[in-house]
Amino acid sequence: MKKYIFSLLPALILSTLVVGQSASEKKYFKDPVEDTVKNESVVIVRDYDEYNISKFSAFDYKVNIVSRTQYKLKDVYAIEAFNTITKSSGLKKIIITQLKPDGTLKEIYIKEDKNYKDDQSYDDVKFKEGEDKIAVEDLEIGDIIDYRYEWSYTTAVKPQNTVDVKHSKYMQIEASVKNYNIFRKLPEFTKFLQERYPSLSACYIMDVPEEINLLQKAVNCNYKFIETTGGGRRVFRCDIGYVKAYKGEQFSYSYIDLPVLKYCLIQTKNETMDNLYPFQFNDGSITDDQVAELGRNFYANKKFMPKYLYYTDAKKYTLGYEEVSLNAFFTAFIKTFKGENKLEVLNKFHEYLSNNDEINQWQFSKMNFAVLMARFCDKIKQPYQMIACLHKYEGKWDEIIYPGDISWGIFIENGDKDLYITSTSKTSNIYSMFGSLDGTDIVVFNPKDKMPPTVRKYPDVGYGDNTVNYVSEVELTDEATLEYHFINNYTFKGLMIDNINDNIAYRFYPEELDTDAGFWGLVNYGLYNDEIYRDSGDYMPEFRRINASFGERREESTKESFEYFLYSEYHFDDIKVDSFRIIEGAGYADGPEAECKFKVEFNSESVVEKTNNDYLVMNLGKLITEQMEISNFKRNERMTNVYNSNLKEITWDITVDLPKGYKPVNLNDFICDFKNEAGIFKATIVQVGDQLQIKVTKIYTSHYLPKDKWSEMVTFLKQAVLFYEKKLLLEKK
Amino acid sequence: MKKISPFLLLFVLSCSSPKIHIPGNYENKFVYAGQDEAAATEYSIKEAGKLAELYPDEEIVNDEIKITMRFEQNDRYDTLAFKKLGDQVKKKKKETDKNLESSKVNLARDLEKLLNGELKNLNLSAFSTTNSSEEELTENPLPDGEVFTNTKFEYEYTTIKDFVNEPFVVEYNSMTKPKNFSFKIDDKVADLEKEKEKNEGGGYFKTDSRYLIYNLNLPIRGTRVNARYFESCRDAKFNNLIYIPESHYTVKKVIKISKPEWLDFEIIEKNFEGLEFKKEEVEESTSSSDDDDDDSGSKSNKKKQKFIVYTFKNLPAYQRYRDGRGASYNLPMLYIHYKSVNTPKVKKNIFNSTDDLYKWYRQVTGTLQNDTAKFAEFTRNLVKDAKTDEEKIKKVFYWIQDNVRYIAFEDGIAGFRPDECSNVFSKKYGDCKGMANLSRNMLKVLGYDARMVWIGTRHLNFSYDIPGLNVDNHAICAVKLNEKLIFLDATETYCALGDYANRIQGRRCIVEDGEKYTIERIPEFGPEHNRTTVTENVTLNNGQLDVKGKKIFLGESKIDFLRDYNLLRIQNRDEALYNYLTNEKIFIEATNISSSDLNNRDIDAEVKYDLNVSNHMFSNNGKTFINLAWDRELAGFDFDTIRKVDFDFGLKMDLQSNIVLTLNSGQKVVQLPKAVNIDNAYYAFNLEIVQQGNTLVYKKSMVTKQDYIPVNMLKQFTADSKQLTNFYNTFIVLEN
Repeated sequence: MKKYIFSLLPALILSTLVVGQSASEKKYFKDPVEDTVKNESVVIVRDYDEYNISKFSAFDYKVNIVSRTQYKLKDVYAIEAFNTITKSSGLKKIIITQLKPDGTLKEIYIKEDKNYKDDQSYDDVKFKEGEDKIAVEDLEIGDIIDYRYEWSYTTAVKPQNTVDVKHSKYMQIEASVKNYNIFRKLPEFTKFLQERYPSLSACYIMDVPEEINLLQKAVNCNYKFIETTGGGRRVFRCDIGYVKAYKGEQFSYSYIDLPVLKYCLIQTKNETMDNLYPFQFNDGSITDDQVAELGRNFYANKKFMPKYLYYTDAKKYTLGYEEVSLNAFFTAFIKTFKGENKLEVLNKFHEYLSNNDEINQWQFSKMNFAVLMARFCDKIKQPYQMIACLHKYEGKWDEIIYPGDISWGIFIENGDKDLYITSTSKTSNIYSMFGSLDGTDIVVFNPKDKMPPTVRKYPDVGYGDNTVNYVSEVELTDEATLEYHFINNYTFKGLMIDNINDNIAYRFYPEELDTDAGFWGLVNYGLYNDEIYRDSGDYMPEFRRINASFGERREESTKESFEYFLYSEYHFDDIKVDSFRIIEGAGYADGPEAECKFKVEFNSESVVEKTNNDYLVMNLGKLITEQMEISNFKRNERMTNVYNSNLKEITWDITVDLPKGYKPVNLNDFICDFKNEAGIFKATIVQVGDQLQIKVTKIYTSHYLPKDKWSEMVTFLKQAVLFYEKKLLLEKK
Repeated sequence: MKKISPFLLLFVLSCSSPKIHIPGNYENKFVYAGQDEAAATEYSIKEAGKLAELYPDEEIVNDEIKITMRFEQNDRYDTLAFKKLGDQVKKKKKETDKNLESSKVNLARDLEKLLNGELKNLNLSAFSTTNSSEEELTENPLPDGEVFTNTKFEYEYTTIKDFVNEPFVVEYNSMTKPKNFSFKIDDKVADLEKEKEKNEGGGYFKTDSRYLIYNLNLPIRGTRVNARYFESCRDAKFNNLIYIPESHYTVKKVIKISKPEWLDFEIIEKNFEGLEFKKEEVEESTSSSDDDDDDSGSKSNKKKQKFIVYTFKNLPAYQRYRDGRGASYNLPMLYIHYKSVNTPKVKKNIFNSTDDLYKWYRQVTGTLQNDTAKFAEFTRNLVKDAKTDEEKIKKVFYWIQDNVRYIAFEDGIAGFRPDECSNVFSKKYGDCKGMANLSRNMLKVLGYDARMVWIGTRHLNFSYDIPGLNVDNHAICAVKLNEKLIFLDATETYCALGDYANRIQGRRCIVEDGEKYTIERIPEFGPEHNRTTVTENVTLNNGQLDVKGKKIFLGESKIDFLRDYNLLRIQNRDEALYNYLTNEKIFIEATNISSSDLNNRDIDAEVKYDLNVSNHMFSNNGKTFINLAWDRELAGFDFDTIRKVDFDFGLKMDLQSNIVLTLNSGQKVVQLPKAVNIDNAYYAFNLEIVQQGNTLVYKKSMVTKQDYIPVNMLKQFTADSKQLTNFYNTFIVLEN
């Protein structure tokens, strides 16, 4: 694109911009906005969303959206950040322009899709960022970059014949099955008002037919949509003033403590509402009865839940899918797990659903999940009730205006430990308890009768429910090189099993592992441990050789991944893994006391370092592995309260050999007995002969601290980090 | 075992001989239903196994590689090509302007076409042998050169491990064209799909460089692959380097370069130390069809041709290190110096001397308009308050640094010809050439004698003694003031006038002077120019160390510091400074941080601070142990023993640190770390802690005399780094 073209174009661009602009947009972007923000690299001058909804057919609406944001560039960082702009496509119109401080308008990128289909469904809108980039010309401090996107869709749902599924446990092959889970939906929003950059002004407009209403809740702010009516239309407009930039904080539920605007559109025309827009509340103050009513409708209304599931016998390795009725599916499933008690069968069913990617794709999957669980309980005659709940990070009941924000599940009375089955996580089971629900109100109702719901408090979830134990034997194997051999046994319980899954998935880049389902494929199938790649003598020689070769290659790759994992834990850069074994449980540990255990053996010469006198330095603290740290710089500033979903207890039992002929100087530095409102950190150390025995306990004891007690959390965490950083001086005897 | 049994059954049923079916994609393991068969035999598998033991780090061994390069004179070489190209550009612009003025409707339509890539600004096919129906890699093609090259590449390799999934990749650009690919796997013709071509990307915003990728998935070790292709290059000047090592161990590599009588060239052997090779001159009968491997061509035109033949044996794979100094310092290569074409009809210098290189630069830039009207008034206004020449030059230099963004182009002629200065001024971005050209012309507006400068950065180990297009990779500006040249590299943000980035220091460069030129050398500074001075006073405070400190940065260390700081988002800058001072260690707390104006490149950068260090001191049995080494520069280096690539520091470092610890009354020194004194041609490290009255003075002087460590010093440096580590680990022992 040449400059000489653009120099002639302002009028043209202006006309391109103006065509199709509503009066509201024109006015909003004409009104001046004063920039009062100092010390910022980028400021959002205006942020604008306009939803224009019109009748599309007897039951459907067309939704036209204009989304526009203006960024003001205020320093070199901003210039670098907006240096190049990617060419995008897939929307009706994309206009990116540049406003100079003197009012000159310059085009950066205009893309209008004249073949854009207005009748496409929401899922068919494919916004795509291209590979080509544009170097923005004449970029200066003070420039405003204006992004304007326009697109549309309709609420009409095209019957989708197939959805791709990949069941990560029972089936490893992607296939397409029919999708019965289709329904209509009007826009809903949980608008988090803080953006990456401070925002001077924002305006959100919903221009809708008379039969559509808007429900809204303002959380931690007072912004409100104001309605004007006329000409068979209702216009809801919300103007928002200055909002400071979002700053991420650890142990934070941003949606609880920071300004959020929740709003959704609902269909008020009764004759269409029942069948076409079923998942909505009719006003902004819901009651327990309404929640229960919704749950019951959902349980009862077969039209809006899947009629069929597909089923493959897990014990056979056939590749076919067979669609069967829900009842037939249940029967076959029960048959597969014949002989196990009801809760164990239910646990298997939970496992099946939570691993079913098809279900995870469904909209309102949380509801679907709960209803399928409920209906399975009906089938196996397991007494239960349905429940509706809100995790603490999801907000409070009086803020709910949209059913999709609610978590659903089933409740089963079970002696000392009642079951609250709410999680769809792949590694959870029916016994899993969540600290984020601790003490919250749970709406409990029978889906099959009209009895008023009851409200129960979710039980306390203490740190004893989520534990990790590290047993580490650190043996000196070479006095000359000071090489140590580690035998580490890890035991995870409760939600810590989930944590280690996430941690490993994050560190190991599962997609790069040569397994079908990444790391957990590795663990779930026990492929690393079993004999599948060993030479059994059954195969032809070539097959046998290459089979073994594949196993070796994967073993090598897994070892490398573990070396990286252990490096990130110990920060010793010479770790060589000997072996790694899942001992039991892994990601699918079942039962109320399920444990995941694994064992790693490795070597390192970095435990003890030499000095240039008679002393040695032992990196003793590092043996508890890297600890969570809050930078000193951040310890004093805190915007949000302190939330800790899952309390946990981590213990270390470490034995380590001392180099021969050396005695420790500062052993007492490793004794610690700390306790405050956030947690406990205790460490003891004793010398037995030429060996040190270290016991360390770190416990997160508090679910919540007000923000002015942030220092409690910082101080607690700091104890562990200081321990990790401590070195033991060894003096020659 | 149960999991794979159905596939095993499939496998057994489908096999009638002990051949292995290649899985289509081995990640869907055991679905051995692929169409391809590999004729792997028990013998070949066993042999490959032996090689795998011999070369444990390799997956592939190149059995033999042959590269045959021939030259062809360009009979249609046009000495006015660059000028015609310029005329074409002007003509096109005029046409476009006319169209733009015709009507707004047409304008909108053209704009859309342009945005959609349908409208091409330049049609330069008259100067290019490229077939217009083929993909255009650039809208800025360079004209054909005096000499073409046609090179045949033949690869023969064996996989020595199973599951080798390594594509066959060839890089090309608008000057080169790879063609006629053929592959054989275990002697059977393999019709491989060309998977994709993609932009090289890298550090360039726009480049004509592409990759041609043929996927090769070879699951059975012992598989033999034969691959060959041809590459034609439209200008031999762009094809003057042949690297010797390959990405895998190579048993034999033969490089044949034809030696036509009409072409005067010299082959320079670079970095050949330790290579096992033979060089010979042979005469062979060849047919014209050998040049392009066109099987349909006549084989009757046999002619004698001389070749220079290099035969290499047992070549280890080439090594790549991010911190390497640059391929031309260590990588063995043949560098072809093209001097001239001499036929009875034509006598033409290519790069016989640096004069020819300069002429070529002049040709490339000859079409520049350098219209200064657009920024003349602005420039005069910019310097209106400046009193001296130096102040005026500085104003222009700093304005370009601060306001024109560096965006790299390696796109045909755009890789060599600067953008028009008026364009760079308007667009406020450009590459090094564009920024140099703008600097030159803004200064010319002010009446200064400003010139373009071509230069090769320290990354390159080539010189004007053997001129070629590899010698220079950068462009800057020079201004003559009081008969002295001041060099201005506006791509180096936060670089003060008169200061030079390490990458250009000491480098020879071509400075334009109309038809003539001069070769100059950029001033080179010693390490002291980049000095960082640290002064810290430490007192003991209830088991912790209180530190009052100051750091001063000069030269390159200042440039880096200012640039890193200013390119951060404003609200992250304080935190970044805090983290820098505390090394992100939780046991160090920093307070009272203040600094000089970190936006001012004309003054020393200075940071003052207080630290509280809590994990470097403890007391036991009447003794106090203190460690003052919270900064552990150059500790922990452990170079690969097999490394054959120099290490690049990026600058000559000079750190002078003086930390004074005041002892409490009655404290007696029991033991101090032994001093470290290392001095050689590349670096000098002197660290000691001495007692002076009631203080202990920790003096640390770390100087890298060069900005690199050569391969033969890496082992020594590893040992010296260990010494530093041990020193840093050592505690001071005091008796209370």
